[in-house]
Amino acid sequence: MNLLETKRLNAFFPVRGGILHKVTAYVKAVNDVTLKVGEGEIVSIVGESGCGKSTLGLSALGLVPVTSGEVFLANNPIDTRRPGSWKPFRKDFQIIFQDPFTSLNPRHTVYRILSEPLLVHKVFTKKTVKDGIANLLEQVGLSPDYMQRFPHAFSGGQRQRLAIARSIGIRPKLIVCDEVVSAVDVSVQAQIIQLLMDLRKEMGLALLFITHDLSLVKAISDRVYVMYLGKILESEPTQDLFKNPQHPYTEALLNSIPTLDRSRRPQILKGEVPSPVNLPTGCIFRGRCSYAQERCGERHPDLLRRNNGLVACYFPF
Amino acid sequence: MNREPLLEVEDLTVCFDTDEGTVEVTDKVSFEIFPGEIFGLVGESGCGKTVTALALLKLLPKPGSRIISGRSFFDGKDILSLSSEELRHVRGKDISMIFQEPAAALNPLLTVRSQLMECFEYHESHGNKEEMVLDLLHRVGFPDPERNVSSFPHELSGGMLQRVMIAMALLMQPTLIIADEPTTALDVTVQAQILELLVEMQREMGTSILLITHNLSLIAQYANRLAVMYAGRIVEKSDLESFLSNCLHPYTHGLLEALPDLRAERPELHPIQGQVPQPKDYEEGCRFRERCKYAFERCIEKPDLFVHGDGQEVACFLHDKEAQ
Amino acid sequence: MFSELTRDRFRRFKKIKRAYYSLWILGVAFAISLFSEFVANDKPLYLRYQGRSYFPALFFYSGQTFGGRYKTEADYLALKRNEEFQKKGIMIFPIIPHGPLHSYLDMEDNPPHPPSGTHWLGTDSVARDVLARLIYGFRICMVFSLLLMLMGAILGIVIGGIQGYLGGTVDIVVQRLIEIWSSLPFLYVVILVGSVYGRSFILLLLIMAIFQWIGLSYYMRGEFYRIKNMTYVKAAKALGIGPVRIFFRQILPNALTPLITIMPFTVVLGITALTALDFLGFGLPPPAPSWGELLGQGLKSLYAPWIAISTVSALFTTLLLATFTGEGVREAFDPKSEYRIE
Repeated sequence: MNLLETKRLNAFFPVRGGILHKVTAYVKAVNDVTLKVGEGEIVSIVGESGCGKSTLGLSALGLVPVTSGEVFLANNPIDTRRPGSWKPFRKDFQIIFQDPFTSLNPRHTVYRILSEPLLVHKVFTKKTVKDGIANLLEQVGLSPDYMQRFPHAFSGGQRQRLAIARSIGIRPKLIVCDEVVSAVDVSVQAQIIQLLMDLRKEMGLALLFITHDLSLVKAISDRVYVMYLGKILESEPTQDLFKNPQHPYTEALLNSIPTLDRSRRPQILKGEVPSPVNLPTGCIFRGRCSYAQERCGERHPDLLRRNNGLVACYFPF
Repeated sequence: MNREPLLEVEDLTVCFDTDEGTVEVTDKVSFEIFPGEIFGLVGESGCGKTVTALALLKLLPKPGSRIISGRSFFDGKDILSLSSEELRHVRGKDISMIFQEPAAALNPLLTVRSQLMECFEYHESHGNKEEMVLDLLHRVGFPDPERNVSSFPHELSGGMLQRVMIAMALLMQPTLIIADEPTTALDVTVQAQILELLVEMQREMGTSILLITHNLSLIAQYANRLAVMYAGRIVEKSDLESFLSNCLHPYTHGLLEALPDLRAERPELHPIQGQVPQPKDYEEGCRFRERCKYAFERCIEKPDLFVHGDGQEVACFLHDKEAQ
Repeated sequence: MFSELTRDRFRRFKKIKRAYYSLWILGVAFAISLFSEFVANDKPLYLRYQGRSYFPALFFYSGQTFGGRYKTEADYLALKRNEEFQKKGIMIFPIIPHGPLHSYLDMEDNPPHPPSGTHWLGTDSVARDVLARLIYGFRICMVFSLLLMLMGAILGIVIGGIQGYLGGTVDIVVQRLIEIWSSLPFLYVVILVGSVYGRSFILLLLIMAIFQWIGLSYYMRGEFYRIKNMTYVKAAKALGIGPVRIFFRQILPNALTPLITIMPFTVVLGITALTALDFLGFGLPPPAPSWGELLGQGLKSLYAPWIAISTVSALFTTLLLATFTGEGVREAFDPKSEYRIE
C-alpha cells in the first residue's frame, strides 16, 4: 500500500505587485508533481535550493496551502481545500524540520516539548508520560537527565535528536525529513542519519527524505526523485540513478559534486537557475542543457516510464 | 622548497569575553601560506577557524574579544601590531576577504556599481574606474555586467552575489584572499563554478587563497596544502597528496570516514561518536581524547605538532617518534 | 520554572545597579504605602482604655465607646488631649500621627502652614498634612497605574493576539475598528463620562484602560504574526496540536517579551496621566489625596512653596526610579547582548 501519494500536485504562491496589490504572477513552487512512498520505503527528493522540494514535503502534509491536485494518505483522499482534513493523519505522518535552532520552542523544557504530543495523542497518561519520555530520550541517544533543560543548552545535533524523539514518540508510519542534517556538521550528520536508520529498522518507518546532498541519497534511499524548478525531472531506484542517469540535469548534478578523488574534477553546469516566476517555455531545463535541441523549446516533456524509472526528457541517455 | 611564506601566523591565541567569563577560542594557532597557493583551513563549526580568519585582519568584535598573543607576518610586517591607519591600507588591498553569506556582506541599499566604486575611495588606483569594474565583473562571470551593475543585492541570486563579492575582493589585486566558507550557502552546481573561478584567479594573477571550509571534499579538490582545526587547535598540517594517501590524526581520519563515499555502491556512514566540546569546556590535554578510539594515558597532556615525514605535521602522541 | 533565557535576563538586570536599586526602592515604598493606614493616620494603631484594647486604625468605634456623647466616629485627637484619658489610657499612633483627610483647623496661623515639628512637610491650603497626603497619594498613583497596566495588558494581549493569530479579514476589520476607536478624544470622554456618572477611581480606571490597550495590541499583533511563522509553531501544528493550545502555550509565552519591557513605562504613563487629570480637576473626586490635586494647590499657593516643592520632588523621584527600572529592563532584554561564539 502506498502510505503517501500525490497526483499532479500544485502549490503556487501569488506574487503581488502594483498599488492595489494585484496578483501579477505565480511562483510555481510545486508544479504537477506525482509521487508515492510505500510502507517502510526510504524515498529521497533531491534538488538544489529553490527547486521546491521542501514545499513539496510541506504541502503533502498540508502545512503549506495546496493549489490543486490530489493527496492520498494511507489511501485516503484528502480534501486539499480544507486544512483541517489532514488532522486525523497527523499522528501517522510526521515531519522533522531543517533548522534545529527554531524548531523547538525556546521557552519549553525538554519534558514539555516531548510530553505535549504524547499527551495530546493519548500515547501516555499524565502519570506514565515521564517514563515514556525517559525511554524516548535513551532511544535517541540522550540522557534522561536532560528532561528539565531548555533547548538552547543543546548543540544543533542534539536538538535534531530531540526533534526526532518528539516525532517518533507517537509512533508515526512515515516521517518527512526536510533537510534534517543540512544545518549540522559532517561528523554529526552521520550520527543523525545512523539514528534515523536504526529507528526505522526498529519501527518499520517510511521516510520521505528531502535533501540536496546526493551522497546521503546514495547511502540510504531506495528510490530517488530529482526535482528542478518545481517539477520532477527523473525518478529512479537509487542504484540506477547513480549508475545510469537518464536526464541531463541528473548527470550534471552528479558531475558537479566534489569528491576526494582528485583525478575527477567537478564539472561546471553553466548558467543559473531561472526565476521560478517566469518559467521558460518548453523544457524548463533547456537554458542550461548541453544537449538541448529545437524540439525542447516547444513544450515541457511529460514524465514517462523508461528503463527502470521515469524521466521527463525528449532525448534521455 | 625554499620559498618565503607570504603569510606566517605564529601562536595566534584569541579569547572571548562571555557572560560566564573569558573563554579561549583559539590556542596557539600557527601556519604558513606560500605565494600562489591555495591553503585549506578545515574544521567543523565552533572549531575557531572563522575566528582565526577574522583575527588575521583584526576584524573581531570589540568589545568582547581579545587577541591574547600571536603574530601574523605579512610581507615582513606583523599585521597584528599595526595601527588602524596602517591596517586600513592592508585590508582590501593586500589582503581581502570573502564572507559566507553574500547577501549579508553587501549593503542592501547600494547598487553593485556603488559598492564596487566605493573601494576606490580608500585605495589608490590608476585608470578608468568604471571600465575596471565592468572588466572585473566580466572576468568573474557575472552575467551581463553592463545591465546588472545597476542592480541592488536583493535582485540578484546567491551565485551572482558571491561573484560580486569576489570581484570586490579582487579589485585591488590583493596577494592574499581569505575565503571564509565562500560556497556553503550556495548550491552544488554554483559551488563548482565559484571554486573554479577562484582557482582561475590563482592561476592568472598568482593570488594566494586561504580557503576556510568544513567540506573536506572541497579541500581535496582544490587546495595545495591544508591544516585541520579541532576545538581551537591545529591538529594536522599537510600537503594534499600526503593527506589523501595517509592522513594522520584520528579526528581527520574520522572526518574522512564520516563522508559517504559516492564511488561506493552503497556508501556507508561512519559517525564519530560523541560531540565537539564547547570552548568553555576545553581541556589542557588532547581535546579529542574523549572521542578517540586510540586514546591512551599520555593523551592527558597537550600534544605538540610532531613532524611526520616531509610536509606533514600532526598533534597526536601516536605519532611522537621520539617516544617510540 | 523560568526558562534559562528568563534567568539570564534577570541576571543581566541585576547587574545594572541603577535599575536594580530603583526597582527595590520603588518596591519597598509601594509595599509600605499599601499599609498607609499604619504609617500615617490620625487614628491610633492601638488604644487601651479602661482595661480593654481597641484598634481604631482598623475598626470603627463611636465616640460613645469612650464616654463621648455622639455616635459618630470618636475624635481621637480630642481624646488624646483629655486629661482623664491621659492618666488612664494609652494611645499608640503611627510614625506620622496625621491622616490625609483631617483638616487641622485649630492651629494658630492660617493654613497653609509651613513645615514644622508636628507637620514635617507642612499643611496644604485646607490645613491637611502634606506628608500624609503624599503617602496616601503615592498608593493611589501606584495602584491605579498597576491596575491600568494589568487591564490594558489583558485587553491588548487578547485583541492583538487574536488579530495576529487569525490574520486575514478578522485582522483588517478589527484594525479599522481600533483606528476609529483611537481617534476618540480621550480627554473629552473622561470629562463627559465623569460629569454624567460622577467621578470615581473605578470609572477613571475603566475609561483609561479602554484607551490604553490599543498601544499594546499593536505590539502583540506584530509578535503573534512573527511567532506564528516560527518553525516550532509549524512543528506543533504538524504534531496535531490544536489551534487553541498553540495560541496559549506555544505563541503567547514568547510574545509576552515586549510586554515586560513596556511595563515600567506604562506605570510612568499611568502616574502622569492620573496626576494630569487630577491637576485639571477632572480626575479623582475630592477629598481624595492625589498628587495632581496637591500640584494644583501648590500652583495656586506659590507663597507656600513647600506644597509644590514636596509634590514635585515626590513625583520626579517616582518617575525617575520607574524610568531607570524601565531602561534597565529594556537593556537586560536586548537581544543583541545574547550572542554566541561561531
